[in-house]
Amino acid sequence: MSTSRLSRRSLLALTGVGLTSGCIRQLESTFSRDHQQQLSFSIKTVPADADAVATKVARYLATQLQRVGISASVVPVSREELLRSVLLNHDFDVYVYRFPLPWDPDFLRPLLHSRYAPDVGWQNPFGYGDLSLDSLLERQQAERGVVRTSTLTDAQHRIVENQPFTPVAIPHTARATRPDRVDWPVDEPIHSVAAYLGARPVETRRFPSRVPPTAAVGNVTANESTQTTPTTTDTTTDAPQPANRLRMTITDARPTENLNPLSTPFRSDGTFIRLVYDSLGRVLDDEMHPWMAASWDWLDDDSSTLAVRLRDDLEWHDGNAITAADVAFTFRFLADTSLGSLDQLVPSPEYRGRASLVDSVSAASSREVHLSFGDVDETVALRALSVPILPEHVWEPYARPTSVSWLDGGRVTEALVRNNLEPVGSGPFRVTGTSFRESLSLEPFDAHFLATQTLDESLARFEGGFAFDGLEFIVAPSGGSAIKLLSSGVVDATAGLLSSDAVKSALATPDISVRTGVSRWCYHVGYNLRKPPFTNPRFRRAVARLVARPYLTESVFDGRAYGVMSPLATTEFSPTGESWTTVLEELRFVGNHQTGSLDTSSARSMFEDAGYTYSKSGELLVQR
Amino acid sequence: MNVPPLVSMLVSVLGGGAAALFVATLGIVGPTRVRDAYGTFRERARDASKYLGLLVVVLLVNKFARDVGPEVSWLLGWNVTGLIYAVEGDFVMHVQSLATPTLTAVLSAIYLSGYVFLLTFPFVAYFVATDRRPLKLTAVAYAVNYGIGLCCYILFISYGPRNLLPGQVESLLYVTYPQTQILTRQVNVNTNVFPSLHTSLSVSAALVAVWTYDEYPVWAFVAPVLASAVAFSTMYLGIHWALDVVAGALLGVASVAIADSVVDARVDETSST
Repeated sequence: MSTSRLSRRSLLALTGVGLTSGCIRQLESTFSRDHQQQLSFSIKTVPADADAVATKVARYLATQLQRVGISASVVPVSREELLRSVLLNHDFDVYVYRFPLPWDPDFLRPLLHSRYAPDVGWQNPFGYGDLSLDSLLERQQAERGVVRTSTLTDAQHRIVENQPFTPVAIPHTARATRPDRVDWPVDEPIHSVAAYLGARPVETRRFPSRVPPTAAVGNVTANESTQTTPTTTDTTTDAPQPANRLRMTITDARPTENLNPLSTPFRSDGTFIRLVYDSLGRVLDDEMHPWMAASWDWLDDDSSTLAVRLRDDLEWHDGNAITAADVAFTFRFLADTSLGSLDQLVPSPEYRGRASLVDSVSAASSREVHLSFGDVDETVALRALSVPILPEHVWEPYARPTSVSWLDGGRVTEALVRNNLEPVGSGPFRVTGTSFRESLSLEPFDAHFLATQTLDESLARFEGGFAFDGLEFIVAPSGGSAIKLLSSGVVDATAGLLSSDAVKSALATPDISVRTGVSRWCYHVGYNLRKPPFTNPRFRRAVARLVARPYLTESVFDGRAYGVMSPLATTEFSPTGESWTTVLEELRFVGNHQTGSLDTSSARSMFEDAGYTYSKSGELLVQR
Repeated sequence: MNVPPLVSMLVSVLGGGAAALFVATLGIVGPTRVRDAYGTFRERARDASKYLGLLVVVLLVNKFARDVGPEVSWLLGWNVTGLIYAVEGDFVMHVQSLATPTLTAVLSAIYLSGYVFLLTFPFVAYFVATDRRPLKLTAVAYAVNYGIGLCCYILFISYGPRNLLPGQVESLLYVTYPQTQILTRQVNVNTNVFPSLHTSLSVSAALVAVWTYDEYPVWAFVAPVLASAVAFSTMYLGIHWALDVVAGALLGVASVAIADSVVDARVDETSST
């Protein structure tokens, strides 16, 4: 422990002053100016139950920081609590988690532009401010092709040099299925709208009466190989499974607690929202295609305005007709969920980046809506079409201000905090029920345009619609238990991402196969630049050099990840060339990056070069 | 159709507990004692109803609070996970260095079924015992355990070693028997590890068992051994920290002490009137 020894100057001050109360304050300040303490901070992350990879990365970082004399401790908190404290209250020192990687790099703009620093949500949670980066981020959204690539290269240079956050890895996804039960479309990741719509039952399990003999055979072998509780009886008939439901496990229970598209602490990659809520366009094969929209065109006389025509006869899940007014309402509502009733705007923290692209919106007729954009290129502008369209008649009453205990200050509306467990969307699935932290049930929405309309080429793959009577998500406490549910035939596949342990047990279980892919998640270390020492880019760079990516991808991610220095590393916008290599080289791990062993003395001198001093016992000191 | 894992787990855990209960009832209590007490069942139940009722109320409150508690806890609670780890360091890791598959199997069974048996057998044994006080003691001690435990769970947020140190501390129970997590999730929230209620309730049961040595000498020997094994299993399986177990043991002792004073007072009161 660092001691609070009185320095000579403090002693002089102590003897020199009288004991009036005003002097006590002076004495304190003299005392504290000389007082140095070991730097100590916390690393927030989620517990292993929620995401063992994040916990392990945080533990690794804490250990490395301790080696360089910093007292760092890992504080595990639940997912929603982490998102609340990091994204809404900005109450953190350092955190380790993942952010979703949308298909277009324009997500970097809300993530890092300084004008979003006072915002909440995935809008500059770090509090980073860099005017040069701001202008690069503004420029790229108006550019295309090689010009944009070059601007994004410059932007990545600045980001990596300044380390507002330290990217660690983009993991591969792994999900387990029962190929004997369900055929999944090959090209789509399981747990996507396209995969659910394309999934087909394997014929043998269509007859409920034949279930006991066929299912039992598979299950006995499964149970033997994992030597667990024998399931001896076939006599339980109290819970007959509906013949034709697609049943999935999730390990993240949040969708059973909240289905509000605007509720940041409860949202993940947005798949559940996309099942229930439609958007004007959908990204299919990395390109925006008309979805609720029949088509869109830029106006001849105003090239910054997009005219979007809705399909005919669109309906909400409650039977009301969808009009262009709902679309116009959605964009106004996302920009200000108080609808002008408060003295300040209360934008939705979700979809903020996309909604910010739209300057104004108006319903030209009941079927056509006009969106005007600022100085934004077409590809970026089309991002705005992927926001979920909300029914005005449902959401308008929730524009009222409210207060919630978990939010420190700031305005909030009911719309941002309601649970919305009976969502009225217009998506291909309708929610039929939720059971708190246990399950979520959906059924196909019969009036959906995929089921009722002739589809053009880009949507032809969805012909025939959802092939089951229902879609059910069952919460499994862990990947391991999810595999157990899968092998015993309670579910058909896992929707949540599997840990490497769960993948191993899945591969060792007969009848189960594992599907892998590249995820759209970036694990990273986020710093709160609102407080020292994280205000100091040299400090952040020194911390970044404690991260051994090859070691982490091998040991923590079990080889199933790309170690990345930039969140765009796996995209076509990944920079190349000598100057990029130099930037990366300057942030090279201090030590052997394969074994993860830190060269402690070099690492310490790195912090000394950044202006920090060490105590005799090796603690990194800061003024208190 | 196949048995859902939750049901099959419940059957095997409670089945294990029930089998032990049956054997112990035969061996430790004995048919003679049950027969002798038979005529007084109703009267005995009435006599202890106040205390058993208290336990039931506490359990109901506890069940309700488990849903609401975590939310309140995130607002008010103090996250002590890091502090606990800073104090005790890698103790649980050292405990796990003893791990063998057999030991894991035994301790998993003790953690699940052994615990159920340890907590339920006293009700059977003391219900038919000559001395009627231990039944009341047990009910009150359990109630106090749950009551204080619940307060601690709201005041302290703490994740167990398996949640803070993945890769270093194995989540042995859930890795070896993943289906058990489906069961334990029904009764546990993973932020509620300080103190260990497994330990505190077991310690309370063991203390009362020692007090009843004269009537059930075998149980006075079995219960402390089983309680120690339960406490050890919580660490071995990576569920609790050593400090959770220490705090749990203190709570277990305190609960019996409190129960002792409460039940005594009531007896004096009734006898003096």
